[in-house]
Amino acid sequence: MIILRLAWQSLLNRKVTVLLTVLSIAISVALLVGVEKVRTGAKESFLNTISGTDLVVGSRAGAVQLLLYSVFRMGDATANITWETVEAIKRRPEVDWVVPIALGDSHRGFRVMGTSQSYFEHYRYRRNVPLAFGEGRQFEDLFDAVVGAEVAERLNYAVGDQIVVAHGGGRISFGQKHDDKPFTISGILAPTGTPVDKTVHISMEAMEAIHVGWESGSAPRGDAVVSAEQVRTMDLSPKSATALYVGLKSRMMTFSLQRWVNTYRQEAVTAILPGVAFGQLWSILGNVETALLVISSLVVFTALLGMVISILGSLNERRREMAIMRAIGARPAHVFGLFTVEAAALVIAGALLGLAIVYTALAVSRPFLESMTGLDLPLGGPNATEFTLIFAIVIGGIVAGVIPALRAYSLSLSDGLTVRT
Amino acid sequence: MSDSPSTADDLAIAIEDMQFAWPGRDGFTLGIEEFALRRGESAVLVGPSGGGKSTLLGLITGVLTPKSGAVRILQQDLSNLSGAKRDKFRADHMGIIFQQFNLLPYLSVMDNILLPLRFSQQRRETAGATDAERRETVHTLLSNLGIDPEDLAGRTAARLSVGQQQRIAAARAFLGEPQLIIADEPTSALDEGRQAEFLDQLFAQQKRTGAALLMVSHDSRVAERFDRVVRLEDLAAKAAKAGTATAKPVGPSAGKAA
Repeated sequence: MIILRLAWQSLLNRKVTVLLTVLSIAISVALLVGVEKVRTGAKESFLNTISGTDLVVGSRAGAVQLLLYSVFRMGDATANITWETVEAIKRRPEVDWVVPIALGDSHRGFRVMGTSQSYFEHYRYRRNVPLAFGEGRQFEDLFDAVVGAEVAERLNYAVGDQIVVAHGGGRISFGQKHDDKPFTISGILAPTGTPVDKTVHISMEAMEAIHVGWESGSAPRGDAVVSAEQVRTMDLSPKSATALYVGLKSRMMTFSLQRWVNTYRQEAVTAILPGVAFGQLWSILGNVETALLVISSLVVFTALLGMVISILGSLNERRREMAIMRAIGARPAHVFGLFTVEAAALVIAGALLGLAIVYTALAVSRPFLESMTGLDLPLGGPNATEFTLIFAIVIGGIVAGVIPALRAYSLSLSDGLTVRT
Repeated sequence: MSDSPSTADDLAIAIEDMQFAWPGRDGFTLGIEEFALRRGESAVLVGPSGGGKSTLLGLITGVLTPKSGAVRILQQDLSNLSGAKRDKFRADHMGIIFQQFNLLPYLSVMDNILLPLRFSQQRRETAGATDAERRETVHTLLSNLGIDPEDLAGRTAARLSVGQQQRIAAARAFLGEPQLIIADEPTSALDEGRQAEFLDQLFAQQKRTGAALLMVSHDSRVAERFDRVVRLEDLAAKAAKAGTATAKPVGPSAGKAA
C-alpha cells in the first residue's frame, strides 16, 4: 500500500511531465478506439445497406460488380435483363416478390433509378428498416419522382419542384437531356445512410416513357419526337430491367433459386446473395481498415515508448529518492514496484482519458457525422473489441513500464545508499 | 575499544576478518580485521576521501555483502541473511542520516519522518500504539531536535532549509528507537554554527534512546565529542599487517566523496 501512496505522491510531484505523458497515451488510445469505432460503424452501415432482399439478379457478372451497380449504384451493368426473364423469375414458386430496377440516367450527378412502387415496400436497410417518407408520397403520376434525402438537401428540393433527367450517367451527360419530359417531385425520403439517399426514383414506366424514340441511343429527331402528352397514351410496360431484388417465401429456398437462375438457359443471368457479395467486397475494403488499425496501433506504441523514455529520463534525478528508500529499509523490489505502479497508473489514466475523449467526441459529432457520411456510429459503451484493445494497451504499458523499473531496480541495488554518478 | 573488554551481546557492530571487493570495479578492496562498536557508544569514522568509508557503511547497513568474514550487527551476522531480510533488518534496527537530500521532496515533513515505520512493524510499535500516538512521538522528537513541530510537520520537505532537513532526517533516524544510528557526514552541508548545534541535538537524542552512533566525518574537529575516533587507515592497516588486502583508493572511486 505504501508503494501505491508513494507512487501517487511522486506522480503528483511531477505534474507537468505526468500530464503530458498521460495526454499522449490518451490521444493515442482515442485514435485507436476511434478508428475501431469508425471501422465497425462503417462495416455495420455498409453491411446494412440492404436487408430483406434474398437475391439480387442481374445480367451475368461477378458478384461484386453486380452488387456495386445494383445496390451502391456504382459502375454500370454490362447488359440489361429482358422482361421475359423477369417474368420467368416472378413465376417461380419460391419467389414472394420481385422489385425491378432500371439504371442508366442521372440527374445533376445523382443516379436516376426506375423501379416499381413495391420498391418502397420491400427495400429494407439496417435490420429490416423500411424506407420512410420525409415529405410527400411515392410516385403515382407517370412523371412523378421520389428523391433521396441527400438529393433533396444538396439540390435544395421540395415536393412539387420540377426536375429534368439527363440521359446517361455521371455529372456530364453529353448534353442530352430528357427536358421534353420533366418530372415533378412527389416525395422526399427520410435519410437512411445508404445509397438510397443519393438516388432519384422514378417508375419503370416513366423510364420507358422518356426513352421512347431513343432506341438509337441518342435524342430523337423530327417524326420520332414524342411529346409528354402523347407518350401517356402509349404502352409503357417495361421491356427490360437492369437488376432485380428478389424476396423469397422462405430463406431455405435461396440456394435452389440461385442455382436455377444461374443455370437459366434463355439468358445469361446471375443471382447473388447480397450478404455473401458484401463479404467479398468488404474483404477488399478490409485492407484499408487493417492499415488504419496498424497505424493507430503504432501510434499507441509510440506513446508507450514516450512514457518509458520519460520514466527512464527521470531515473537519474530519482536515484537519491531510491537511496533514501533503501536507507529506511525498502527492498529493491519495492523500488521496482514503485516504478511499475507508476507506469501502470500512467497507462491506465491515459486509457481512461482516451476513452473519455472518444466518447465525448462521438457524442458531439455523431449527428454531424451521420448527416455528412451516413455513418451511424453506435454510442453504446465499449464493445468487446474495444475492451480487448484497452486491456492490451494497459498490459502493454505495464510491460513497457517494467523496462525502467528493472533499470531502477538494478540502480538501487548497485547504488545502495550512495548514489554514484 | 581494545582496552575495554566487551561481551558479544553488548556489541552493536562487530566486524571480523572481513574482506570486500567491489564487483566489476577492479582493484578496489576493503579489508578489516576487527572493528567493534558497543551499544550506546558513539564513534566517529575518519579517513580520506575515497578511502572506503561509504563502502564500510554499505557493509554495516547490509546494502553490500563482504566476500569473506563476518559483519555482525546486534549479534546478527548479515551474511546469513538474504537481501530482503537484510533490508528488513536495516528497517528494524538502523536509522540512517545522509550528508544531504535525506527527504523525499514530495512528501510532507510528517510523512517523511513516519516513512520508516511503513517498513518496520517493530519500530512502528515502539513509536506508538496508534497513529495519533506515533504522531505525538514525532512531535516530541522534533521538539527535542529544536524544531517547532506545529510549524513544520505539515510542510512539504522540499521547502525546508538544509539545516531543517538534516534535523528532520535525524528525527526519522531516531523514530521507533533503532539501536544503531549511522550518519554519513550529516553536518558537512551545514555552516559551522549550525554544525555544533546539530551535533548537540544529535548527541542528546542518542543519549535519550541509548542507540549506538557511528558517524563518518572528514572533519577531525568534531572528534572530541565522540567516545572514540576510528581511523579507517588504521582498520585497513591492521588488516594489511595481518596479510590481507588494504583499502586503497583507485580507479573511478578516487577523489569522490566516500
